Amino acid sequence: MATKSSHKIAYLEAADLPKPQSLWQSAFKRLIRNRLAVMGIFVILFFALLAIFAEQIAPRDFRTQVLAASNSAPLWVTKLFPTMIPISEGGYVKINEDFFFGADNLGRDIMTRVIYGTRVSLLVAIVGPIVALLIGVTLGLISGYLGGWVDNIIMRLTDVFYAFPTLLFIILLMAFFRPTTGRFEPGSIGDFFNRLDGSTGGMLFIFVGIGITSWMQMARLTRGQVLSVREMEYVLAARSLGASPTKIMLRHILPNILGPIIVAETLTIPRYISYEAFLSFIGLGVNPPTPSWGAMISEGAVAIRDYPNQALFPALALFLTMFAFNFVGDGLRDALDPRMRGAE
Amino acid sequence: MFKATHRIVALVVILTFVMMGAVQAQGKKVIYSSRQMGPDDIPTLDPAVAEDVPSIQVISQIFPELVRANELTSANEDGMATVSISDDGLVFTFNITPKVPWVRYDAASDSVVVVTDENGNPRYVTAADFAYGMMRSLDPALASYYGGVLSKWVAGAKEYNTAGEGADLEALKAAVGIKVVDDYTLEVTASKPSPIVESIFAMWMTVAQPQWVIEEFGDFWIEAENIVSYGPFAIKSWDRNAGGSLVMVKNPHFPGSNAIPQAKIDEVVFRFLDVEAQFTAYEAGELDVSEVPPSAIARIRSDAELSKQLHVDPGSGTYYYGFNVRIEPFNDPRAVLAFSLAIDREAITTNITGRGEIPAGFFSSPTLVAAPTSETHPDIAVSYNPEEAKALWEAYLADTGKKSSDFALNILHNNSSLHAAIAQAIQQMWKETLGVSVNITAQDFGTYLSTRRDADIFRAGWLYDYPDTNNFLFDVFHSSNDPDTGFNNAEFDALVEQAQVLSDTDARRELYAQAEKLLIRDAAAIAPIYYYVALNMTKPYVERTYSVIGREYYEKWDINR
Amino acid sequence: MFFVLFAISVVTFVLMRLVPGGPFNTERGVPPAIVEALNKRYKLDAPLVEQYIDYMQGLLVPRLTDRTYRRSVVEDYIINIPMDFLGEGVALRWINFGPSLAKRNQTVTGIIRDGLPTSMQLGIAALLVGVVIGVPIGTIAALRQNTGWDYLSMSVAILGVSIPSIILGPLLQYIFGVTLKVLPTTGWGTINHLILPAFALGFTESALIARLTRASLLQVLREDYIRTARAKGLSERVVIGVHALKNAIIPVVTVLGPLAAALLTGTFVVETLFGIPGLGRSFVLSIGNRDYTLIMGTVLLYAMFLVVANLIVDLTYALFDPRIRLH
Repeated sequence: MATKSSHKIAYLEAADLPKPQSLWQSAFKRLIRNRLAVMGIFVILFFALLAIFAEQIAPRDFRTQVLAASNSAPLWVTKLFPTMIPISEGGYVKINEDFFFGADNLGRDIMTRVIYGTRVSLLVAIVGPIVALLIGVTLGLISGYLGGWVDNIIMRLTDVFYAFPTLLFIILLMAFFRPTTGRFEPGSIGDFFNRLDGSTGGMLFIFVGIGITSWMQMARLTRGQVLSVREMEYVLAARSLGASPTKIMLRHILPNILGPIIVAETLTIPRYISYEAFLSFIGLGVNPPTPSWGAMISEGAVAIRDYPNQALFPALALFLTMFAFNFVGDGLRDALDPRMRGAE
Repeated sequence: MFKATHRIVALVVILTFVMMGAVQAQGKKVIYSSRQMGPDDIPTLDPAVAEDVPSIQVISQIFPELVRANELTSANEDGMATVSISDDGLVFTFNITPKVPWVRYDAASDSVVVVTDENGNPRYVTAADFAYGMMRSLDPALASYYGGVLSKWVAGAKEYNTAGEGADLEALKAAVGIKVVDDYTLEVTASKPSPIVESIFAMWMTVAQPQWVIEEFGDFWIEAENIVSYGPFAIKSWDRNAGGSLVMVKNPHFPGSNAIPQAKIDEVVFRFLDVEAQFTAYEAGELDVSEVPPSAIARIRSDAELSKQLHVDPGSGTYYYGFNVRIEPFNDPRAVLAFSLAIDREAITTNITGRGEIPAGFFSSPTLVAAPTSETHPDIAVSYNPEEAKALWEAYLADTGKKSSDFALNILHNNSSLHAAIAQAIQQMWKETLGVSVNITAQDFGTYLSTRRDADIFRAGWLYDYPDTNNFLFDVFHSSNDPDTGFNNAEFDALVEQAQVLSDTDARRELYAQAEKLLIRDAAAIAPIYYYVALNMTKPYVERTYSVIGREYYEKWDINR
Repeated sequence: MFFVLFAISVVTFVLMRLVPGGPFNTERGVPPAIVEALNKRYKLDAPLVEQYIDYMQGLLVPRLTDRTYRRSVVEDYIINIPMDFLGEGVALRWINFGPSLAKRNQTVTGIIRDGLPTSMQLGIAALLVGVVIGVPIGTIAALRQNTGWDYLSMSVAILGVSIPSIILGPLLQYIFGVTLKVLPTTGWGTINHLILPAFALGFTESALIARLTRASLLQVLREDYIRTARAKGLSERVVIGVHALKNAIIPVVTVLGPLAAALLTGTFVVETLFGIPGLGRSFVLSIGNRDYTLIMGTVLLYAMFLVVANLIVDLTYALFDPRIRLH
């Protein structure tokens, strides 16, 4: 069976030889012609470089606390947020020019922490969509195209996962795999997960959480899209020509529904980042003192009235990243839309 | 479905009512308070099972105790009774204030009415109601935590409270030393003579409870439409959800006494809000009294108006770090003391908590009766001393032949940005002073509670139930309580047992100082960090007292608008 | 549908009992004798399977009770149909979520009955805000693609996603409550109380909806039938309003289903910020408190809303796009 079907695919691929890889090649060409998308790519690259070379770029160490400088800010920040009145003007804000974005409640440099925070947040922003796309689109395609009992089972599974008590599950994992003591029996399963978690900077549980929660929306969205194009002429045509379901799904349906999916995916990126923030907030995210934008935003939010810089600088970084991902997403959508092919 | 429509109608009625209430409030004295409440529902109003600050706050207003703790001095005063103690210190005779009626709020007439019996006569609070209340708190089937506390102090109560299956409950019940002499005289026999016993009758689990209501409505007797009470306030409404509210109204039928006067305020509205939301609502003029979020304290102090409305009072507890003395290196008290002395408490209280918390030299809070303080026993109190810390740690390392890097230690705390900040600061202090790297693990509260026994180091706090040092040293660290740190010291046990039955406060303080010396130095198991403080914002038109006992007496407040 | 609810009930029941800790642990350390007595009181000492069957029986099996109903927290039903002809106070009662383990005098039924209407009101308001802001912004952006309007709309949308309600909430409270004093910052009960939290909650969702609408509409506008419609000389309003938007709304509706279920059953952050007596906080706290019955109750409620919402979504597919055949 296996050999037969792979043979069939190979045969079909061969039939497509006249325009090999044209979809992706021309898509790429169109993408780099889109100025905004290119700008977005550069912004993402910029943040990626920040993440990689954080040690070299950051002005300070992200852990070091200068307790005497807690909640201080430089003069320009107090000018930017007029409600932050410096002590010298009868207000309450300690002025300290050593920290360009100011210092947090433990006297740590916010700028440094924003730079280091790029690591966690970008990783989450990239891993989240990949997980969601792989699982969600696959299941959505199968469900929407095949329909019937397959559809039924996949959709019920999706519903179950939607209502799955993720928080409970993560607390359970945390309790078992995050050490209450500094000791774990070497070689035990707890030790294994603890090491895995430690080597990812405490991000294991974030990824587990994303894995459980991310794909359902994508699956439902994909299925909805498949349903709307399944009866289109070009699909019917392909089917009547005897194309295999796999080929119809991948070559005919997927490119036509990729637009909204990619846009939805770039849109959900902040959800992953805020999910990470939520987990950090309830203490199940990255290990302190490792910074992440989400954790900085949720910690800074309680002081938003008095020290808006503590939450808004990481939020600004998040906004720029979102903007960039958004334009790249748009660019990708346009580039991948088969009806745009050869439009130029 | 019928019920659902009913609910919607009720909701609409309530909404209209709330809007009308806001208008009516002009003529009435209504105070909006969030003090003590927190963002969640008040867990219970049942005095027999209450365990937490919000519940006890309300209970103390509607069910006053036989003995009333003064909110300014924490000294015991006559509450619902005058008390006389026999010469051997064992028999407590309470002469209960006569003719204090049971009351309930009547929604139809919007007033507090006296509860009557089958014959139409008013029901008064009697010795039998108090006896019933205490016996109900002790009931083994109810499994009340504070029933257990009461059982330690009343003769025969322990046996009844811990009765197992198949025990002769009636016989055990009859053997409990609580006796109704007549309508207004109650006699309680203590299990041992101690200055602490009187304080027990200033606690909520010993108040009068309405037997006939409890028997009629069962578990639901505390709901606003069922509850009857006798204190200066009565319950008007109770919206039981996070973010909800509880409204108390003045009880005009309460006679009032020196310690518990008649209320001057017509209504107290408790709103359940988290501290940031409280302060925002306070600034917007929606609350008259609120607590203070740490981030706002600098601004309040710098603001001419707000700083006048701020009041900082000693709190009722201690924030501390516990060390697991069953494991290395903390099985050596030098190591624990080194870790303790390496903590710069001043830096934590000024820069992180910042609300005026006081660096702690002892576990016992200085507001307690017979507590040793940094003034009375400066040489026992612990404080930041990096040189001594380093010397102790190096001596320990030299004796055991170990290196700092041999230890993989971990701090456990429950999730909260404040605990996280303090843990990170302490992590850095230990690194700098001792050269020891520790990890930090945050767990959700349930996991934290069930695993902290195995933790290397854990954060903890203790708030008092009654203002006596016994509640700190005996009730937490006596070996019979099996403390989570693994602290178990025969000498300590002997000291706190001895202090329990002495009546001279200075002599007791001396014993407690010796016990503290073991707990924080010679056999160290904990590092006290700071004493909590209570921060209040109060609008200028509110006339009030500032309580040091962990609950407010709103009957002593007034509004001048 | 029943399969989903059944699966969720089993998964939740097992998961919550695997998590360390129990409902009666406190920081004070409760004596083992008391914990044992409490476990007995709430039948937590029975075998797990028995407890599950017991719980499901209370939930699913209707029963006739007399006037002694509501004497103990074990008895409290959502649906009560009076049957006075059978005797005074007799009623047919159905759906009992059991006693709350963390709040000793309260039932889960009571918590849901009190909190759900509030959460639903807020959820509906937030959804309205999301749709009313999101769909027009998305439409304008798509129709004016690559113009200043497009960039402006999308900037607003992206701002909405990057500023979570945890920041937006306090900002709104500060501006409209503390400084301008035009709206109440906290509390519940009037329309005025609804505005700020609904906006804080709905703005983030509106951003999502706007982006999806734009993307979907852009795609639809390139379809043949739109070209046909335009060629037929139909007015632009009819083309966009009737033909294009109707098709473009499908992905939006897909997302709206689970979103609605989540919003209607409450949201932790907004309820906490604005002091709203809804269910969202109860749910998150029940997990922290190990309040087993409250966990079960809220998870099942959410699952039920979700299943229903998704069913409605499936039905609307057919409504918006008749070509979709339902199986």
